[in-house]
Amino acid sequence: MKRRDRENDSGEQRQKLMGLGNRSMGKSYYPELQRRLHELESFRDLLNRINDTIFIVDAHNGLILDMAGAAELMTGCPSHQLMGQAFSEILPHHVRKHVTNLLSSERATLTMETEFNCPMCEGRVPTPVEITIQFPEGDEGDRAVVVARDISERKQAEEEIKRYSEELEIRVKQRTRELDQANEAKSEFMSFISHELRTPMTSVLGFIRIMRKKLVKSIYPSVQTDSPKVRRNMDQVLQNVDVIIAEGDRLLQLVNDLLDLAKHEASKMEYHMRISDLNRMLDRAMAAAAGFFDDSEADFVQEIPPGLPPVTADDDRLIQVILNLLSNAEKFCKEGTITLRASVEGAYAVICVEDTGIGIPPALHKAVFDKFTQVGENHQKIKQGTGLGLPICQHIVAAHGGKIWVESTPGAGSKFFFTLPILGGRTEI
Amino acid sequence: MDTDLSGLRKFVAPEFVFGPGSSRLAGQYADNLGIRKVLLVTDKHLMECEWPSRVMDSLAQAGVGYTVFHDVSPNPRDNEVMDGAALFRENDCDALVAVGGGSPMDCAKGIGIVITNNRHVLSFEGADNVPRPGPPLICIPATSGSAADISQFCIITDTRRKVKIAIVSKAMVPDVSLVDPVLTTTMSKALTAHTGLDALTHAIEAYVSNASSPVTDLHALEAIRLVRKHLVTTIHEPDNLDARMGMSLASTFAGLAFSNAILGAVHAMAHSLGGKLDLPHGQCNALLLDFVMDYNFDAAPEKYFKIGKFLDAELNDEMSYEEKKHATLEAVRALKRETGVTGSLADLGVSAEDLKLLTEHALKDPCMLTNPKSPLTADIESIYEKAR
Repeated sequence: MKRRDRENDSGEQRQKLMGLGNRSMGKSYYPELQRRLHELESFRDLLNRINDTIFIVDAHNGLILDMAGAAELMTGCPSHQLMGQAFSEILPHHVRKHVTNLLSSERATLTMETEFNCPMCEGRVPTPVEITIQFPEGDEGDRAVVVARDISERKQAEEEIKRYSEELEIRVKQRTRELDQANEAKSEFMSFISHELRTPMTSVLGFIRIMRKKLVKSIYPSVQTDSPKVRRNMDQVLQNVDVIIAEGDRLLQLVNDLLDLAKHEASKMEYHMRISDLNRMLDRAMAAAAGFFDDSEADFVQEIPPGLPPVTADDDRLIQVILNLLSNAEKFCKEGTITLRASVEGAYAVICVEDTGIGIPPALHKAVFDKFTQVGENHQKIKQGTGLGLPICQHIVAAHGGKIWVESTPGAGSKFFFTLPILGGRTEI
Repeated sequence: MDTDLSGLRKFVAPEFVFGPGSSRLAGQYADNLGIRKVLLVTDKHLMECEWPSRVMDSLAQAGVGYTVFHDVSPNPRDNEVMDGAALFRENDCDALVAVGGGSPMDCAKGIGIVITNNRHVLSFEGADNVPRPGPPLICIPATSGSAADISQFCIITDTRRKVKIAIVSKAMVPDVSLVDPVLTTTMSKALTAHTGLDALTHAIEAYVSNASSPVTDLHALEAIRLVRKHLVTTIHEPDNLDARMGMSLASTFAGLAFSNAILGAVHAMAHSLGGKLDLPHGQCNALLLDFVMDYNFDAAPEKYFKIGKFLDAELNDEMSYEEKKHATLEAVRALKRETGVTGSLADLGVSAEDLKLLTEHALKDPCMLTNPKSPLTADIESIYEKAR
């Protein structure tokens, strides 16, 4: 530094020391106060831009001492007009009388939903608000700080949700009514089938059986002819009659099954549940099935241990299931073995009908329990069922609290299982 | 600075209340200033006296809260100031009350500007370098010498560099000072002597300062007269309130003088000593005073003669310059002897090796700027050598 510069610098320093520097003044808080005031004003300006409103209310007389924020938007009244007014004035009439209690509350914070409106304006739609009242501790006396938030949008959304749910309810009712009507129509249709198909079919079958009996017992023996043609025709007639009987039976069975299924689906099937001895029930089922195997080449085997636990069941319905499964097995297993098995697994009795027949492709393991699904449609030799047996079985088993399913390998045979819950739960064997 | 203002003179003084019992107004003043809670800065030694608790009672009576901070060394350190500022913030204080000698008062001044400017205290070093004044500060001196309760000075030790820095700003002038001579009655003989000679040094340096003015001269000369009249009495009769009042007044006058006329080489050199070796400030001043006067004498002989007269030196017009100078310096030395402040810098542990660095620091001290003479390195080193 050159000497001259140093001297200048020293001179400047000396002047500053003597109090002749740029900022040298006796201590004054004015600049600081100005800065703080400016900060406060900026802060207030900032506060006035928020969507909420903050009221400072005298907790004793309920008068509005100060406010910031969106007071004008919420009340429809300019802030300067609200200043010094009673806070209760902007509230609905029914709330006003509670304001004194609210402001003298012991609780630190109170929250409630209400509405704001200008006390001076006529016909303004009130603004729904949520207000939070706080009582800050301080030396500025008892003051309540009320923070109000406009909840118009929330209210609107709530209204909309309410309207939607009402609409939905109406639609559900309407749909239920329609379904009821459809159900009724279906019931009527079933009743129609019952009367208009089953009754005539019963007559047709009854009369054709009588005709066959008469043909065989009295008419044919009294025909005295050696004409081979006549004889051939007579045989032909008898065969035709048999076809009519067989097809008639099948038709009647189909109608019966349809009616049955309809009842199941409408949950109108009546069950007579009682404590049932499984062994005896299975014996009854086998006795009823004895006829199935008269014309069959297949061997029928039973593997039923004695002393099976009791179940709660409608025996007749369960027998119907077993017979259905056995009859299916017989249909698809002309040779080989059909086995009826029973066992206990955990809390369930498991009944199984196994055959060594043609089996069921895996894709159909579930579908066989759907209406009108039949396996082996290509096997024309196989006696056709109605395609309703297994769906009915499924309903019956489900009504007993059990499950029915099939395990099968095409070409190796099928195993149909169904379970029944053991009375009183788990039983050891 | 574009304009040469060196011919101008300014005089700033705080509001102060002088007289026995004025310290009891602490609470009232704090209340008037709108203060809710003060940081009461004092020192450990003073806590053994009743004065801090008297001030606390006064504050309490006025409903003003307080937190006490007494971790202040005789030469207040930068870290103590920062600790005090932290305590101030932690306790939500809004003002400062300092009770004690120069150390607590300077520490309080430092705390104040750290609080408002949010900067380290060392960053304010120099003259007119405080952007915002600190919070309200009430000073209650318990010594009669430093005049920190009056002055715009704040001296803090930079513990890392081992130098005393001067913060000189009108913003450092307290809001109120309560100058209560009663508080000085508990000072020891040595402290009374050191602080009294500090006041004398303030007055002499302000009087011969190149920034002095008729207003400061008035105060400086009266301070010199009062020191001569009362200092020795206060040492021998600590409870003599008249003498104590005289010294408190002397200190106040000296403060008014030096705060505005600034100081000189004695203080520049004493600051350097205090920073390097942590020596008592008043004692350093006293040991250097007559040697610096000797060096400066020809720069302001008439003023020095006047000082001599005010110190009871027998001077007349028939005496030569040298005779009068000798008589003047002898008057100072006589006072030093009477107050028991003898010995040398070497007695305080100053070694010959220290002098170079001490000189370097002293030359950089702002007080050197208003010394009647602009000394060279050799001059200062020589003065130190003589005082050693």
